[in-house]
Amino acid sequence: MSDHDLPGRVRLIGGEMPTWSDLESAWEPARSGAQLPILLAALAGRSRVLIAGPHEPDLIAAVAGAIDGELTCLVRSIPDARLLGETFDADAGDGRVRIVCGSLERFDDTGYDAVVALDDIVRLYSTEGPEPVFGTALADLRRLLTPDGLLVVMVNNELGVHRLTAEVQPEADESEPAWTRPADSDNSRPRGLADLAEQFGPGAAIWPVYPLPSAPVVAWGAAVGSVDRTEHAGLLAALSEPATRSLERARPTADVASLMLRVRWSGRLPEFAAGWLVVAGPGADRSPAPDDVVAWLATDQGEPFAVRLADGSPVLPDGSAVPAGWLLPDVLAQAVVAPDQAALRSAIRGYADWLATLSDVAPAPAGRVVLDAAGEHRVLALGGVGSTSVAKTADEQLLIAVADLVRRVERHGYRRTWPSHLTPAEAVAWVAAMRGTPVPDDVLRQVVAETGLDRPLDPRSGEPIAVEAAAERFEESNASRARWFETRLKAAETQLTTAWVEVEKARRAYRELARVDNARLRNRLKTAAKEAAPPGAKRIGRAVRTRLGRVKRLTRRLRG
Amino acid sequence: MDSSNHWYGHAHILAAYCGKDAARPPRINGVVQHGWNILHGFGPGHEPPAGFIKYVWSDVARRRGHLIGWRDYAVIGSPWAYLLAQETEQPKERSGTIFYPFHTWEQGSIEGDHGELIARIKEIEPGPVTVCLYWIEYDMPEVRSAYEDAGFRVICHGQRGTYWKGTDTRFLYKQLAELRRHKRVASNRLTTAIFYGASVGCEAGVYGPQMDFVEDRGGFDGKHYVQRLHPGLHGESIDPDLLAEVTRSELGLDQLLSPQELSYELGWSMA
Repeated sequence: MSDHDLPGRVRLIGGEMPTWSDLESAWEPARSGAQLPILLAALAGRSRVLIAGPHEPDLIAAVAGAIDGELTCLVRSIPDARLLGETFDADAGDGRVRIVCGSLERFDDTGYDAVVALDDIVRLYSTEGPEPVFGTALADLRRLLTPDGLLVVMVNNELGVHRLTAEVQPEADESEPAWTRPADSDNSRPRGLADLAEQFGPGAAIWPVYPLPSAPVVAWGAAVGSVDRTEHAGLLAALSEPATRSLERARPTADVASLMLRVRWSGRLPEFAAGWLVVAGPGADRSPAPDDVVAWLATDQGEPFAVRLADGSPVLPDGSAVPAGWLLPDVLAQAVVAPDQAALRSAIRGYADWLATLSDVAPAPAGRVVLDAAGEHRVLALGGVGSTSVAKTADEQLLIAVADLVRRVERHGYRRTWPSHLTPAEAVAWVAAMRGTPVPDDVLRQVVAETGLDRPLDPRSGEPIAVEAAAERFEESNASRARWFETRLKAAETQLTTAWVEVEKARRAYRELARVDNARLRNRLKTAAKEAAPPGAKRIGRAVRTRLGRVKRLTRRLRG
Repeated sequence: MDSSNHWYGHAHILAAYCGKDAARPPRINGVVQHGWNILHGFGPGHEPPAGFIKYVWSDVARRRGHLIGWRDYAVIGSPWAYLLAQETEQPKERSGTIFYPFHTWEQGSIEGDHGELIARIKEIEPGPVTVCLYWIEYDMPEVRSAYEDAGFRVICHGQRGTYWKGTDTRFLYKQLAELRRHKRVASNRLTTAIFYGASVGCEAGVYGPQMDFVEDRGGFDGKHYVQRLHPGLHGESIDPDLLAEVTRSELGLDQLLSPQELSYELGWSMA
């Protein structure tokens, strides 16, 4: 029974949302990222799998390709169900994928040996269902599992870096998907590792992910706790860097890099993660989180890769040992904000001298260079997930490093070692000159232009975005009210004109009657005229004038 | 400010509850939901002006409206709930069934087989049957006589009015009196009247041939949607506990504001 023209693989169960789409909404659905290899390993060999909530079709297709049996997708939006149905119809008609549309509490199909919810639990229930409550949702998902079934859930962390850096906090979120109370007010929601262990059991594998739960760029493994965060500060910084860059694009005003640095220094990567990927259930040991994984890292260029421990020490994907030390951009930034011009000069000169010894500088951008306590520079061979700029010469590579430093300092208003009257472009030249030999002007101009430092930085108002949005809504509301009153005013003016015509007619009639020379007859005619006259013409006129006055006063007040 | 506020005497009931002149209700600072529906609280094509408050019966209407970008909602409960708060006298005895055939409206029409519906009512309902027609069908001799000829008592609660004219301000009072004297309420669609009946203790049934709107309703016919949304509220005899729970939520029976707060919400505090 369907009142919608939907693909045959779609089944409606009630509580669907007819026009809403989670896949198109302001809150992005779960996408493939660093969580994918963990998920696929956990699902390998499973034959009946449910994916609940909004997930991008590519992610669903990856799961469908990794399992042996049938895949069911539960979504609440009819447009999303239609899109998924049509996607899999077009995709060689994969008959193993079926779509169910409705609110989770109505889904009564049980016996799944794995249930996956990578979009947290908030969007499992529709507008027609109950308010999403974590504890209830967990129970609703568990009841669908076989006794040895596996549960894979991404749990949003309301204290994660994505929240700490967000300009619009949940309390101020007026976007369309935010019709429920903020997730943080749900007391059954896990707020930390202890809560996770309590709700999912001590055997559950927990992968803290950054920078967004919907799009993890890095998923930290249990082995990160065994990595010395001072000795291998450079490795941890390099593994964090793509997530930091990704979050900076989404939060252009936030100093994500500094925040991430503090999180790493404090050893609290799990606590401030954007989300936790939890793999739980009696069957979890079939595909556990390998204890040797330090992190899975998603890349723009290819499949995610892992950095692991070998004999207690981290090794790179190519099997080589990880060089100890600090990542060069952190060294430069620390020198600037100290402010320690001598330290900055030393770091710039050391990097420039080292670059000059290399036959190929392309693999040595600052974001991939580790500097140890002895001043030795070494490349951290993590592949193409670092800086987006590729330099061909040592001059170019140095200037890119300096430009990145200047942009960071200028964007976040750091204190600095160069004069404050310098433009960003002049600051690049000033810092680059610290290497002791002249920097070619043409290369300087090229790098400054390519990094956008030849233009003024985007102006920022001091007003929080949420406050600006509230003010806009206030103005729109008043404008709309004014338009409504103007419409009513025009209608009232038309009515008034009609009323005055009627009044004038009545007056003429009275004047005619006044000329009748018989008092008794005159009075009788007046009475008859009143009865025949338009109903209460004068009363209408008075009423319209009174309302007109009110409308005018209100309109003045609203405009004023 | 919106003439639909006066439909069924809603503004008058709210004014009476707030101690205002019920014969001449003050202007409401927004638009009041006028019937139970599965949309944002208002009918298809009825878009309340932005900047004014949308007064809805239950939170689910607010949620649906939020999705399409509508803001400034106030969940106040239904005027019916405020009527119940004022008219507390209970009936001494109840008998029979009052049946509300799915009806047309002022700007549309429906198609369906009244004869088939009459046969179903006779088959299901054990006691005397009152059929309540909407005023449009009540004024259609062929429809009205079909039910009268079947031996049913046929009534009409009145007109809801158009642009502040012709409103039977006692509409809901009459409906309340009728519902309280019947043991059962029934319809061939899940409609407002079923919830009204349930709110005053009627047993309920939703059965019979469902009639359809003739004109296009924005490409979406809610008939099947409602059946999936409330499958337990369809049948010759509906689970009273389930119906009571849904009724409480949909009519906002637990959402009633005090007269002082409601006056403030409706923009009457200074009136």
